[in-house]
Amino acid sequence: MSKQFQFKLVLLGESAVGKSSLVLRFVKDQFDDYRESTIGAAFLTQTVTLEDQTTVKFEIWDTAGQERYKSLAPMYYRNANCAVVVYDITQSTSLEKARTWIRELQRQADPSIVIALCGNKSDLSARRQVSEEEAKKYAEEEGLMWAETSAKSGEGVTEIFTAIAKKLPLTAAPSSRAGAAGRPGAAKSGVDLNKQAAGAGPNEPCNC
Amino acid sequence: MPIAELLSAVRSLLLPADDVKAVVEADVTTVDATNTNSNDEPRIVAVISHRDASKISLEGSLFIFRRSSTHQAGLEIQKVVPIYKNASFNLAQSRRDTIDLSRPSEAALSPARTGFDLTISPGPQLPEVILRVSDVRTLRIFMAECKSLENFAPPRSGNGFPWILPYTLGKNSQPIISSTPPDLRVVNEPLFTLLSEASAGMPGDDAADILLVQSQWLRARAREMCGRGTYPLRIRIGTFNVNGKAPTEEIATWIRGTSSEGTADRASYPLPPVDRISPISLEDVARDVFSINSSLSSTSTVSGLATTTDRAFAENVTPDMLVLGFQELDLSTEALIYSTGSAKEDAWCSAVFEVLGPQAILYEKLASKQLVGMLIIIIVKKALRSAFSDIRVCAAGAGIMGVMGNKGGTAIRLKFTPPALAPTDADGRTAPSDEAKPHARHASVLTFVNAHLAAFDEMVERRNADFHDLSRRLGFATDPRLNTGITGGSNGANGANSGITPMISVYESDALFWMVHLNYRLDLPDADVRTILRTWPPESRCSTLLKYDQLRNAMQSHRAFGSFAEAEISHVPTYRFSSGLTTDELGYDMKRRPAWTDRILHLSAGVKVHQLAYAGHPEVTLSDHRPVSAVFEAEVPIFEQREHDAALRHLLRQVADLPADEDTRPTLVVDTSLVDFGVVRYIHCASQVVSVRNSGKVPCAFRFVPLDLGGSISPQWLQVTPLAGFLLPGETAPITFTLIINNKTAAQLNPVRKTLNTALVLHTALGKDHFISIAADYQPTCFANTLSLLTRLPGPIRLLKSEDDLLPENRAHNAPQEVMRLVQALMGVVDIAPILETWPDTSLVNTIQACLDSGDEFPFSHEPGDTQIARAFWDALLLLLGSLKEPIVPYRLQHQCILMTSRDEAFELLGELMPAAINVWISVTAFLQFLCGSSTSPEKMARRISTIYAPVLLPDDPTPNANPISPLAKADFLLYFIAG
Repeated sequence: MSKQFQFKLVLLGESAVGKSSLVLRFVKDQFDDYRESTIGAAFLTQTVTLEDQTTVKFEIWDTAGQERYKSLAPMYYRNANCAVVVYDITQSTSLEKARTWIRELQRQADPSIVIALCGNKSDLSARRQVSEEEAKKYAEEEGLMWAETSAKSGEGVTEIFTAIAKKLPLTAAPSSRAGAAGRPGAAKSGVDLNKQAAGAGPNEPCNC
Repeated sequence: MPIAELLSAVRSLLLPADDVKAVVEADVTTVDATNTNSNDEPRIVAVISHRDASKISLEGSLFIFRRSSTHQAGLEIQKVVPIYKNASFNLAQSRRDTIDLSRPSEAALSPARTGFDLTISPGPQLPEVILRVSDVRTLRIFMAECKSLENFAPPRSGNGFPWILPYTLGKNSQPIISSTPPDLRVVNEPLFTLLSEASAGMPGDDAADILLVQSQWLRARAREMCGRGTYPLRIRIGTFNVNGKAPTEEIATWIRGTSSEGTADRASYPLPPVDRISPISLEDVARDVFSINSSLSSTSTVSGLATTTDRAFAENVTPDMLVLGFQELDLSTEALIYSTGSAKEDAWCSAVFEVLGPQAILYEKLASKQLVGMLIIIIVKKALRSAFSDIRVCAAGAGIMGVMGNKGGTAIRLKFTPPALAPTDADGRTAPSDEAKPHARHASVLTFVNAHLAAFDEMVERRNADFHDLSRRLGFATDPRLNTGITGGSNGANGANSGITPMISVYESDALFWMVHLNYRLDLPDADVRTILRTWPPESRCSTLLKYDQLRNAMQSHRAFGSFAEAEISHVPTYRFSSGLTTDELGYDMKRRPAWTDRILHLSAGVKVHQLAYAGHPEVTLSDHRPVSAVFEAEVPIFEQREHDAALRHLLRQVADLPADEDTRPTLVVDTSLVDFGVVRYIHCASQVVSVRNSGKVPCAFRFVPLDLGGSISPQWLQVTPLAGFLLPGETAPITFTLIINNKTAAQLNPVRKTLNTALVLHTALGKDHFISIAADYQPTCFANTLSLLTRLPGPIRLLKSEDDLLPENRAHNAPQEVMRLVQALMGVVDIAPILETWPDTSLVNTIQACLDSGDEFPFSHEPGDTQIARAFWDALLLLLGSLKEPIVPYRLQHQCILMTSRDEAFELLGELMPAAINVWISVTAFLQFLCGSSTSPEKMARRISTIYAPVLLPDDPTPNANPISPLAKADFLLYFIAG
């Protein structure tokens, strides 16, 4: 019998580090050279199957990176189970921005949130400004997951999401089988879907 | 047909997100009125599953098909039964050859096949479906699929299962193409308030929202596509409590209208909303054409609102319909016990035709309904008689004596099919032509209610309750044959198909009119009502008194008549003029407080209604009430029903493509993500338009969501329209952002210059959130501040950099410099009378306001003789004082003010005010006293000015349920300071 879990994941990071491209690669295995800047927030889903046949479904919120919309970010990372904070290895300022996001998450997000620091554009390592060591060291200090990815080549993309899935508490986690209450579309009256379902544990297998 | 073939046939009919899980061929019995099994032919029943677009949930429904050679795949969808949570499925062996009496006989008696019954209860209070199948193996699989879908099913709620809509729309059972208009109270609810609760990052029930937005769009778009204009139906409505009296010739003006009616009633076309942004809103206080002994006739001075065309409209055109509501037709005790026949009705009816004079020949009585003292009569133009159809009447008693009907209502509902328009006749109107084919043309439903609610001042709650009770109980039988007392024929469009007779509510109309003797009164002392009526200028006496009108207040607080509209009242109270009792100078008897008890209200959606006149008829003196009349023009839409239905089907096909997966998600493009208003100042109102385009492959519903659940979409200074919308692929819609700097918002934004910044979240149902940033550079104003802040300003407010630069309390000015500048500018005025008669000039007022804010000199060399400029200063002073965040005289102190009995007492009470308020009070009243003193008639002028300034210096407490203070008492308090 396989278990199904569902988690809310939010992507944060400076504008143009490749958050949307990372999601596009993960969800559709596609890459788009000329992507317009995200002005808003997009909701996508993708499922990861682990070795023990457990499936983890991510509800992904890809948010705008522009400073102008910073005040809206908390609306999207509240109740998130995990956050992927993305920087661009060819822009050292983007790591600084990532640090700011991580500090904000540590201060304001759910204390149990799993945070992954993700250095994107690893295909452009010739123009690298952020060394692997520097980022890794910072991640270790802060107790974050860390990886480098390339949304363009696909390198490391599935891996980082799978690693997050493994790190999430899969023992008493929410399941997609919660019926209406499990639909994000049914999120009413400020109910925290994940917390609500977390108490219920994995659902009974269906009899079909 | 083998199961595999059936499965593929069914599958070919489904949308991408849906799949068929199992299928059986069965005899179907549904335990409700719809006769699914009208013959012995077995049905194909399929279990259909639907993945939610976000792929998280699964819903299921039973689809019942009939074989049909004319339909795609040889199958026609007959019925769709959603499987809700707690649906039950019971399998049992058929009891052959026994008659099950609990089922409709037809089905029970049909030749049963050998086999098994699967009884399906789809959910609580839903009719059971029974499938009789011979092949138990197939049935078992079928049942297992049903059960597994039930596992995922949502509980039953109002909006569930939007995905079945594309399959069932087009079936005549769907409300979207129902021949009964939707409930007006629901349709008039702003769409946005009906959408699910959602916020940024927390979408609500997108599927249900799409359904709501889409159905409203479908209605509007279908009408738009086949609309052929409108027919202007002129309706004259009258209400009259006749107090048991017999008709006299006096009623002529009430029936025919007076030549002055259109002008007397400030005929507004359409009724203008109160403009709260413009300084003009204070004109009502400031602009007074004073005349102490104005007569009670309804021909008062014309306001600027009535244009010549409106007047021509109201006067010269004979109405197409005359709808008259009478109350207390028969006061005899017998009348309460048994029907006294139609003698009274006949008498009134013939009186009406008599006073119509030579025009009487144009009209005939269409319908009437009487309940004891309440009678409603509809008279129409003979030429239009054939346009009216499906006339239904009803009556309901209300209140203590409800059954006997001394209070309650009678109502008439009818359909009006606009005749084809022909060249205009001599009247300037269009007349019906012979080419009309009314049967093919859409008919609009008009409903008229005549009601009489509980009496006595203190019974306001009772009247509210009676209204709701009547609203519920006034209903028309769906089967027109059950009607009684109808003079017209009916071509019953709503043939009932079962023994139960559901009622059609009076609200299920395109336009609804209530003519009522409501008995709502004025919450003011008797003497004050009379004094204000007698001594206040005609322009302000009604508007002042109406603030205390119980009906207006019940409407505003939505306790009764919440969504109804009533035109501005400019006629004097219509109650009570009892003969034989002592009366005041105006003829009102001393036993009852004068009140507007007789009213005409309306509510409409499918038919646009413009009110052209609203008048009292003081010249009709036969009863203790005065009759009231109103003239409406209803814009009845013209379209062919068949074209409309075809348009609707066409649109339905276009919207049926609900998104199935990520690739076909709704996609919206917003043309700009930043709206910059630049510099904004008091009083400012600017709009900018952003356009949104559906760039995806599927229809798209959008809505704004607040940042937090239950929060507001935008700050108070910003308005957004529309808040929700629907676009087909490739379509574009404008969204208007309006920035408003008025007293309310300026009060929040003052006192320093600041950058306004906000981001709004535009949510695409089942798609992205778009962010739209709004920016503006706000410049503060001296309007809408507290007095204490104004006195602490070191210079003009525009120069204030930070609140830290304000003067300390102990170095504050005695009074605001801005007030003093205005008073100073007005000191040169010698005679105030001509200034009050001058028409106010808003642009001059704005210039003065800008100079006060910036500290600049006033740009006009002020000559005392220039009344136009003096008038602008006068208005600016009233506006500035009226804009203060806290009133000059605090609300709690106002209750003491009105108890003062002498000038000395009044002055002593002033000590209770803040020092700055005392200084303002003293300077302003001293100036006003000077003005009155130099007037030719000081006492009259003081009284007049007191009615202008009292509402500004002693404004009403806006707190709900605040104890109202008589405006007369406030003016009297002010008089101690400005008279003599």
